[in-house]
Amino acid sequence: MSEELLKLGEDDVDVSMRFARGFLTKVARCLKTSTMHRMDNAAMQAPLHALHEAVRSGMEESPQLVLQMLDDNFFLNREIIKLDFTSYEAGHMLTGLLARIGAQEIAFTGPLTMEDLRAFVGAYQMFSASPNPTAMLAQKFAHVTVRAIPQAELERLKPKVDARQNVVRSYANLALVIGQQLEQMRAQRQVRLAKVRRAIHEIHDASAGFESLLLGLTRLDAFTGQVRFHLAAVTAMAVMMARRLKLPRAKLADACMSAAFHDIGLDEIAPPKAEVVTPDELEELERVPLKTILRLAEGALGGDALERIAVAWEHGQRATAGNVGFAQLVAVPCVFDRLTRPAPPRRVTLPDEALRLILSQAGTRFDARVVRLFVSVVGMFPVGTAVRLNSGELGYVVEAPKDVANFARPKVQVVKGAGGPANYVLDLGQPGEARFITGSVDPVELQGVNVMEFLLG
Amino acid sequence: MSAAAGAEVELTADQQAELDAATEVAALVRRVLDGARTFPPGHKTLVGYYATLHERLTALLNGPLDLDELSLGVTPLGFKLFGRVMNPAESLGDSFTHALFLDGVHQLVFSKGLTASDLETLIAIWRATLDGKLGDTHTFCTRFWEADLQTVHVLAVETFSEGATSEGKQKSELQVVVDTLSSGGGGYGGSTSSIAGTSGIYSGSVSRVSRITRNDLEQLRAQGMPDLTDQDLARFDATERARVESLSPAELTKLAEDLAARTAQQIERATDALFQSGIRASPEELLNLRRAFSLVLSAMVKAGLLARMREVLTRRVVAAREGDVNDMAARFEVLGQLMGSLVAPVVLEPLVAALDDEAQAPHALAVLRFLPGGASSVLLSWLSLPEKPAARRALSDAIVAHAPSAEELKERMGWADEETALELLHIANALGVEASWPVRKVGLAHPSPAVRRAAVSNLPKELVLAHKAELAPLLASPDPDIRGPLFAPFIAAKEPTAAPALGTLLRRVKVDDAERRRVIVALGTLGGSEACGVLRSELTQAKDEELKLACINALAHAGDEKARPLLEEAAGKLLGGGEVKKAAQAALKRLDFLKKAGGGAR
Repeated sequence: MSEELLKLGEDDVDVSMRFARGFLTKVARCLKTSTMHRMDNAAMQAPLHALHEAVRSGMEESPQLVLQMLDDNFFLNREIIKLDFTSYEAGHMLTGLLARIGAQEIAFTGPLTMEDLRAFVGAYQMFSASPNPTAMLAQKFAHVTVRAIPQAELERLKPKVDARQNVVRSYANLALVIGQQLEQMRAQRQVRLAKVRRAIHEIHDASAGFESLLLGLTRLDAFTGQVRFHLAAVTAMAVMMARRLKLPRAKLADACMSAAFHDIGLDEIAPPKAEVVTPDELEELERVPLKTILRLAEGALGGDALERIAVAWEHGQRATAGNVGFAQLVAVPCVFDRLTRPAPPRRVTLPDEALRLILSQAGTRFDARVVRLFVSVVGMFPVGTAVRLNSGELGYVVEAPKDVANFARPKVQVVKGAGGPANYVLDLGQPGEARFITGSVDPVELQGVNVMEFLLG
Repeated sequence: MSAAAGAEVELTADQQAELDAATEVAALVRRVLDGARTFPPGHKTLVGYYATLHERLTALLNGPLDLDELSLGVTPLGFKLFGRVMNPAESLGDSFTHALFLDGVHQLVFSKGLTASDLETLIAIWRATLDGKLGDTHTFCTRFWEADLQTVHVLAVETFSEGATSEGKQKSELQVVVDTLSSGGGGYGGSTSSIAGTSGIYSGSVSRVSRITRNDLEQLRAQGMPDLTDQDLARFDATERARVESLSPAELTKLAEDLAARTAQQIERATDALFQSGIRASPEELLNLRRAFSLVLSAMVKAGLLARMREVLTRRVVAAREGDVNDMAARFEVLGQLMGSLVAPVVLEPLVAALDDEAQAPHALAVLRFLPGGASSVLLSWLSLPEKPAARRALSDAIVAHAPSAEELKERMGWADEETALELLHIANALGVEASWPVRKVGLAHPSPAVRRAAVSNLPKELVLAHKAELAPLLASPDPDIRGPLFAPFIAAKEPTAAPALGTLLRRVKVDDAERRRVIVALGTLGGSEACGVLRSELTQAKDEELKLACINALAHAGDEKARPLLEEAAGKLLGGGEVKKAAQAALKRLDFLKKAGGGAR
């Protein structure tokens, strides 16, 4: 099996994945050959040297190389190996070879000499042919371990399907994937738009039924000022708006792709130094659409790149009557996010204030219907807003109103009652509930409360 | 498969039946995929393949096994069921599942109620994946997700291991972000603090929370609303949140339609976006802008949207003239980049090629008129691209409008093919007769006779005489279409330089008697020793009586004393001679008369 064969069809995979496949193949070939030839046979030398070299090379990048098998999947250092045609066959072979000794893991844990490797492979040769092959698991080898993975650890390795955690993971993944593409653009390397598209699909699927959690994530101050998180937040909100509109999936993805790249020019702007914007900074900010568009044009100009270019410009423009497009689906959440989560040390606008400003521009800057759509998604007091009730209680909004007629009556996690600290949830939208929100408050008043605990509840 | 796999588990009778049926399905899937490559959509053979596959799957799902779904594992070698790979591929090129597996597809599931349209969509996406036609914005999984099929599903695995952490292993960046978000990192409302393990450039900074006031205009303009005005802010004070109403289902539907409808105008919008944003561009950015324009325009041309391109460009020219006068210079600068981007090969090549399409040609020509001054050189590079003569001529006419230099036309003429050379001559003629001479001159040496003919056609007398030294030798050209147009100007001007060439013509070129007589008469008209020498020679060699007569008359007309012996010989013949004899006698009388009058051979 030559290196060339291993590279077939792999243009789109990175170097580490190629290494992982090659490594797996070399382990399989070495053990398989040992079942056919004596250790001193010339036929053993090439597989041994190849594996030794692979281990040496892999350890330049990582202190250990742990190859594991779980169900039909292989992992190298806990990263799944996406097998290709050749390595799949090798993997299938390795499954059988390790099954003989009852093992699911081989770990190379230190600077392996050729003698160490010979000793290990020689032991495999001997034990696999013996009446009690699993006895090999009790043996100690220099810088190599082989073992059966305990059931508890196997369970941990299996994918976790906690739905709420999945929302967090999808949102984090979206931000990171966007960030990776920004880096690719900066380095003038090929942008992998399909990865962003896939991340959008994932967040769409993961957030169904967990919109409040996703909204809460988009509003967290963590990573504030990082362009990738601004883009991810706007994209996430656009996903929710598009879903409310019941846009066909292809259109939804196109709209959200535009959201994911709508402000990439911000990446070229120096971080603010003061709370108040200077004329020079303002002028530089006004050039962001141009920088965004030029970057988009520099990248791969696939079919929908024109739409992204158009949206990059239009989302900063006033909506004129009947002239509404996906840009509006981006414009409203973009302004909301930039107002409520500006790069420090710029002043933060309270979310209900930001919404009131957006409402005041409905019909002029923003399409009035899109503004109403946005409010119906985030509510008048978005998730994470610190609020005071008419009863004097203080709390955080943890869920947007289900009934869109009650925009201003969300679910509130009360953390401070009349008599001191409290911990209960109030659904202000419940019929007969007399309490209502009098306004938002500075979150400083509620410091020490972790809203995400309630959202992930 | 050569692997020493673990012992395969015995299958139950139902499992074996399902495996057998699935193996048949796998073979049918393969046949449809191959058919989709071989036959065009709707071909009856392909339709038959689809129908068979659909019938077989439906029968399997509704049959005695009573399956809710058929779930096939996807491996690089083929489908897998109950740990067995069905009909495994023997080489990479033979595998129809490899591309899907690489994209993370682990299972393909057909549900009960499978529709034919879902099946066709699946195969179409699959085929496009195998053929590498999804471009860089899509993979099989993304296309499949967006197709939103109801009766076919895939299980795609990006990574199984992201959730796992282990001691001693550095946490991935994703895990760091997930942990930070899960712990409510940073909280809400600007109390950002340093977050361990991240590369946040703002770590450590703290923002102050505030309410909006009328003094915040600049601040708000920096936060996504660049042209916010005082009047806008005045509305903010008056806005009450209680007035918001939800959208009705009908409004939602209408809004969704309105949003999606705009994507149809994305080309115009993208051009507008580039144009408007470019007004603030630096000189360096303007250059990049030109490249961006050319990419957008090339997308337009490739999509065959020349009519829209024409509209867009026209609209941009109008828009550049209107609007704020303070920005006018900048607008024209951007307009220059837009028009300049037309000369990019990615735009111009398909644009010129569109001239061959009768429906597109008028729009293509209209767009070509937007090319900036000095674009003739670029246009000339594409002169050989159109295949139809009419298209080439249209392009030539468009080039004329850009006033190319005769010098450049001349240079290109040297290595142009016949069709191109003819167009170059056409362009040169449009520049004016005198200006066209350098091009014609090179054209005269072109290997193509058609080009050489065109180079001398319609040459005015003045130009011929002005360049007589170069043109006179062409009177001896074997090609009558080359020597023909030159004959009259030379003879009418009684240009003596024509005589040697005409002599050569008579000696070396096979010309018909009528032309020969015409040349003989002309030589008589020209006179002079050279012409008379030719005539004497012609008289000596001529067999035809008519030609002899013509020679004698010409010599008489020229008053050639050296012809006297020949004439006397012809006049003194005792037998025969007829008209020739009479003509020779008359010629001698004329020579005598001229001699007495003190003339002689002219």
